[in-house]
Amino acid sequence: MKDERWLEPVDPGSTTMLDLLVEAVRAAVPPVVDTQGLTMARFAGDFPQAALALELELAAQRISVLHRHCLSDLLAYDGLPVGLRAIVFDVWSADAAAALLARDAAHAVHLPWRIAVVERGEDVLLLMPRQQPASVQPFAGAAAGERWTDRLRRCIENAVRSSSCRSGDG
Amino acid sequence: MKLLKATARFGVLRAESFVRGESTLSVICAGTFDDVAVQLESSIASNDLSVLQMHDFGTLLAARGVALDTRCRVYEVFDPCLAARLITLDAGLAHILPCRISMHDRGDAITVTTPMPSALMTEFSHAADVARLARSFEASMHRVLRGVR
Repeated sequence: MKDERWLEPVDPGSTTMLDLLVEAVRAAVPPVVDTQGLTMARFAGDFPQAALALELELAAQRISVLHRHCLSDLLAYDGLPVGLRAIVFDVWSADAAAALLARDAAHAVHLPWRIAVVERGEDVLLLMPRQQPASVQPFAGAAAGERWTDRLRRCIENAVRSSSCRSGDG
Repeated sequence: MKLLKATARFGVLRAESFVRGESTLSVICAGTFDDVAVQLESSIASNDLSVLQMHDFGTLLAARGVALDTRCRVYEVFDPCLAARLITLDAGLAHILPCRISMHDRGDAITVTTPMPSALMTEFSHAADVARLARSFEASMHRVLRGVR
C-alpha cells in the first residue's frame, strides 16, 4: 500500500531537510539515510546514550575525538537557550589527515571532520556531512580503498545498530 | 614547467589578495605565519566572534610521528546569536557549527580560508530563512578575512 504521507505537499519555506530525513529514517531499515550532502541516523535511546555509543564506536574504529562542542551548553551560557540538545564531535585520525594535507594543505578547511548528535523532541539523531568531494577524500580505512567517510559512516551505523538491538527494534 | 605555471597563477591570486571561490572565501597574505595568525585572531575578536578551539595540525601530526612540510592551522569560531538562530531554524545544521577558518603556509605566502556560508548552509538546508542568515554571516566572514590583509 502506498504511503500517503509522501504525497503531501512540502512547504519549501518551513519544511527542513531534517523534517524529511526524520520521516525517512523512521521508516527505513536499517535506520541510516544518506543524501548527497548528509548521512543521518536515528538512535533508539536517549541523548547521553547516543553520545556514549558514538564515542565507543569512534574508539573502536581508531578515530580520535579532538574536541566536543556542546552547543546547547554554550548557548545557555550566552543566555540563548534553545529547545534542543546538540553535541558536535570534532574527529580525525592522523593517517587520514596526513593523507589529505599531503595532497594539498588547502584541504585543511575540511578538518577536523564532524559528527553531530542532536536531540530534537523525541528523536535523537546522528548527523554527518558528506560534503567532501571524492577527490579530496583520503583512502584511510582498514580495507584497501575504503574511503574515510565510509569509515565514519560505519561508526554511525554501528552505534545505531547497537541501540536498535538494545531497544528490541533490530 | 607545471610548477612555473602554478607559481605564476598563484602570483596572480596573491596580487588580487581576496579570492571568492566556488565554495570558499580566501585571503592571501604576505608575512610570517605567526604574524598572520595574530592578525586573524585580532580580526576574529573585533568582529565579535569567539575562538572555541584552535587545531594546529602540524603539532597534532608531529605528536603521532608524522611530519607535515607546511604549517597548517584551523580556528573554530563561534557566533552565539548565529548559532542559536541557525539550530532553531534547522537543527540539521548543528554539524556546521562552530565555523572553521583555516590557515596554511604556501612557502611565500599564507592563505586564510573559510567555507562560504551561503554555499555551505544552503547545501544542507532548504529553509528560506537559513539562506538569509547565511548571507548575513557571509558579510561578517568577509570582514574577518579583510581584517587580516
